[in-house]
Amino acid sequence: MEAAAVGHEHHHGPPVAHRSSRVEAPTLGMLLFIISEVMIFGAFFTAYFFIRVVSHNAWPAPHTSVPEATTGVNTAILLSSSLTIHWALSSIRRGNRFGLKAGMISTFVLGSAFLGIQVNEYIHLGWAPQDSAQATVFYALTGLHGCHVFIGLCLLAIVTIRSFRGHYSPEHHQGMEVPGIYWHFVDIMWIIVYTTVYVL
Amino acid sequence: MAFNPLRNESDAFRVLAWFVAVVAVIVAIVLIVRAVA
Repeated sequence: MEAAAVGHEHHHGPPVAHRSSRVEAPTLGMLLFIISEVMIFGAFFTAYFFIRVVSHNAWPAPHTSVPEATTGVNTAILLSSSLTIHWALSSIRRGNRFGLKAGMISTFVLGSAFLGIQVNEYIHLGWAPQDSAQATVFYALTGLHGCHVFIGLCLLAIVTIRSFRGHYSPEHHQGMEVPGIYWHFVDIMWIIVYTTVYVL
Repeated sequence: MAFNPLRNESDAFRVLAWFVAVVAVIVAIVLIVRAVA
């Protein structure tokens, strides 16, 4: 009991309670989170697969269209936001606080622009989720991703505020790593959604 | 530090960059094959 409390490198016997002895806790947490996200997106993509491939339904549904070009620009905006958050993190690792703040502001603005354009697209599509199975799965997939973007924007807002308050330093900026990883994950998911729903 | 995109944002960014490149190539191939066929 005491041996376990002394320190991981000194103890012998059973591993520390509630902690893996093989995988670092932050890595394990992120891995489990990503796995759960893959499951939920996987379920939605399964529905898309059954509607489009198994049932051979036309895509998009007859007399409808998807704004591929506009959303292509939106995709570039989201990809740019991943560049800017990477810039922000690279900056703080080198002690560049201006780069950190500019990067975070840019990321938040670009991410908000993406979501705003997506909402605008919903308003002007001309067809509703209940109009067809194709429409339902379109709104479901893009909407699920939009929810993830919204959550990401909440995380980015917190990081941006903390950046301006001087909470981060080259030695201590772990609180930025997870939102950064999450934002890149959101980007990867959008590439998959955009490619399958809009392009192919 | 070992490559770990789940722990390190730089590694995650590298995974994103590679993913975008690979998907772009795949989509380009599919669109070309569709255009030719």
